[in-house]
Amino acid sequence: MTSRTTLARSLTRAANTIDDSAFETAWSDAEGRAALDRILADDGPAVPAVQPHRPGRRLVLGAAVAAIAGAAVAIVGLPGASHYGAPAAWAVAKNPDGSVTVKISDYRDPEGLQQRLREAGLRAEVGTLPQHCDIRMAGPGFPGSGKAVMIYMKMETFQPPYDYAKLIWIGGKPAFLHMDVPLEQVAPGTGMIIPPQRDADLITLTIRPDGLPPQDTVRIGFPADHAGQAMGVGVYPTDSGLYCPAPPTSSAPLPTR
Amino acid sequence: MAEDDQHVHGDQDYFESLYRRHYAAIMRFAARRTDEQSARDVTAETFLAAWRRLDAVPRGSELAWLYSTVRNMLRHERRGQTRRSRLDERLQSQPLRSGRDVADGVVDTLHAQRLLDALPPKDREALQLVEWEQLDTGTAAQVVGCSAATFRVRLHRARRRLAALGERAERAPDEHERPIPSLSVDKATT
Repeated sequence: MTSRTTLARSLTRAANTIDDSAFETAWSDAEGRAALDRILADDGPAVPAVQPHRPGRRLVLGAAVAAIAGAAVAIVGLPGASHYGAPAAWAVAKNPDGSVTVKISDYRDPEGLQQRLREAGLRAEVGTLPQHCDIRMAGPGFPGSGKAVMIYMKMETFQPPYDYAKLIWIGGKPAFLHMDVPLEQVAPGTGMIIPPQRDADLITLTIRPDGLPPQDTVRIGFPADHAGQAMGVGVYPTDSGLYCPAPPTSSAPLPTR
Repeated sequence: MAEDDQHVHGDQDYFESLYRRHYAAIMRFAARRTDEQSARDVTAETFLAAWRRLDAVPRGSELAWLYSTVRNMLRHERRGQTRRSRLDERLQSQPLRSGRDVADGVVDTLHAQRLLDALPPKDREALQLVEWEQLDTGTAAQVVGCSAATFRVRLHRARRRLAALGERAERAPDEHERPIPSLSVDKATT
């Protein structure tokens, strides 16, 4: 180990104000137990995460958390394509932390959604996936519902840039993209699939424009065939066109890094 | 017992095990970056996220998932800006001490914090994950969302930069009243 490495390690450790053995029993103290009880009283993993009309069941964890929870205040876009009493297809909101939340309940008016996302400061393209771009076969057991979402990530840091599955799986959410729906890993190398919601058909994405790599664009592809095709969401190099992620009817594993 | 009930109890047992095993690590991570009460809140919110999306927590990499989640929550905590400002004010009011044997680790915390704060955020984070959280480079890479190779490069660069700052502070006793310049300023002036 070089002297510079030793010096850097020494300085970094000296800047640490919390002992390595601190809080070892904090999980079992009064506050730690109370927090655990509150968490377990929450709906938990058996309930689909997209439940926007159940505020009474949400956990209150203090001012800092409340500030985060109440973040979506600035409605940038009016709900999309709502006419003749039909339900809104989507809505876009810009949050105080700079992130953008989009809720999609129907695959209508992609051009309008794209415009709203750009007004919210996000490099985004929204279109309709080609008919042949069928990702129903992405993994065994995929139900093929048009309400499902498959996530594709493409980052400049990966060569070839296909390590989306790993990127999504680690931490459940990359810094710039948070999906408020449960994730399910179908099989290694086949990507991530959001199963259709049992009781809700609302998809919520929260994206941080400032975390998006400068050469990339968020792409949302609505399915052309609502009955059998899934929606695609991904991050791709700008001007590369809507990406068709898998060969038609192919169940072959997608490339990984 | 119904099958659903068995499933729920299995989830709860697994989650409680996660909570017991990793609460302290996540709490330390948060407490090193915010005040203790906020750290409690953010830690609880992190485990709440895990509970709500237990299927998304990768088996075998739970700690990396939790670190990544608490990291993102702290980044979104608006109060962090105020906290950082206060810390900066406190640190700026402290003279930079020099003439000490930093290689032997005989440095005070404020001096080291000032040097660390002069690094670009990604460099600082790389050092903190490895030296404070004692993560291996593979796990740390998972936490920040980059490849292990990228993280190793970042860590090497961060160590080199921090050591250079430390050495310069040693060599320049006349600068002890000045704030440590940031690396971006260094780059523009050299």
